[in-house]
Amino acid sequence: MKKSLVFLVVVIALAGGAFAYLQYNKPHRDTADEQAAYILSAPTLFAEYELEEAAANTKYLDKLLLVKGELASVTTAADGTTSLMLTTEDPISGISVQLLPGEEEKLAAYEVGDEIGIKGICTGKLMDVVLVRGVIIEE
Amino acid sequence: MKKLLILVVLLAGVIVQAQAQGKFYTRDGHISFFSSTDVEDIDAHNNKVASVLDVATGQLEFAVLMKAFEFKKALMQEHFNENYVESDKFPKAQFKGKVLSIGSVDFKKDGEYPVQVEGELTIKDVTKPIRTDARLIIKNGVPQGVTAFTIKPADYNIQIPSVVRKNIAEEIQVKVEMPYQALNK
Repeated sequence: MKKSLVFLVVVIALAGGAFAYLQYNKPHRDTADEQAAYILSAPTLFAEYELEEAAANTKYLDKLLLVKGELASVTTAADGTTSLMLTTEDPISGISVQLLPGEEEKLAAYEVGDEIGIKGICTGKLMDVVLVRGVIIEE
Repeated sequence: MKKLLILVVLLAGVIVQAQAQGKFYTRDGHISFFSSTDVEDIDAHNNKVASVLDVATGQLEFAVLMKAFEFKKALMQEHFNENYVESDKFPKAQFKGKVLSIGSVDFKKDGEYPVQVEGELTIKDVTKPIRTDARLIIKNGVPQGVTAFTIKPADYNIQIPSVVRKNIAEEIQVKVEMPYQALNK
């Protein structure tokens, strides 16, 4: 009786330890694999944010969005991170997508002005609507 | 005719002067913060800071989306967003202030200029005054702003649960780099 109790306690302790270890080292959201919560165009997404930011945040904040639009520009930050901008009806602002490392290689197939589809997690709007952990959808 | 000519020359001078002043902005500013304790080091980076600098007045503003901070550990990012800064409720942090003595910066001469920045930082809807040394690095008439300062999470109503109290420093080091470009209106 005592032996099986000790055994049970050890198993539970190990399971607890394993769980804690896995949680501590849990991976970031896999934006490539995860299904998008919404599929929409860049101008539509921007327009919703322009209309009412709080409502748009309630709907889109932290959600994985699949956004299609016209490639306006590509920039590389000082630390090597690549971002792209999708055109909206606003002359200055757009959908800014920070790409995951490695995704920028897919940009070789695109030119400014091309239609492009991306998936990214919405973090809100400053000048642009900002998506992070972006991946480029291969048609 | 002569009067008209003088007027045109004067106006041209004013316009040129106005262009030497003017506004700069960035949508790719970088803010990182770093916490170091005996238990662990935590750092996070945000490459999507938006900022505007008005050289004529020294006015400086920046805005940060909290959910755009990237941590190496997903669990830390989750705790940061859900428990510490509650980014669903408070998606942005903001700074509104001024570069003091911006007149001492010669935008026509490349170089590094030490300045002071003073203003108000708002995190989780709590606003605190901030004053820090900074540098404006001028290259071809375009500034890059660089600064570092420390903040106390407790000052901004950021509650750290006692379970992880030892994992997070009482003072967090913040680094700011804003590569500006001219705002053409």
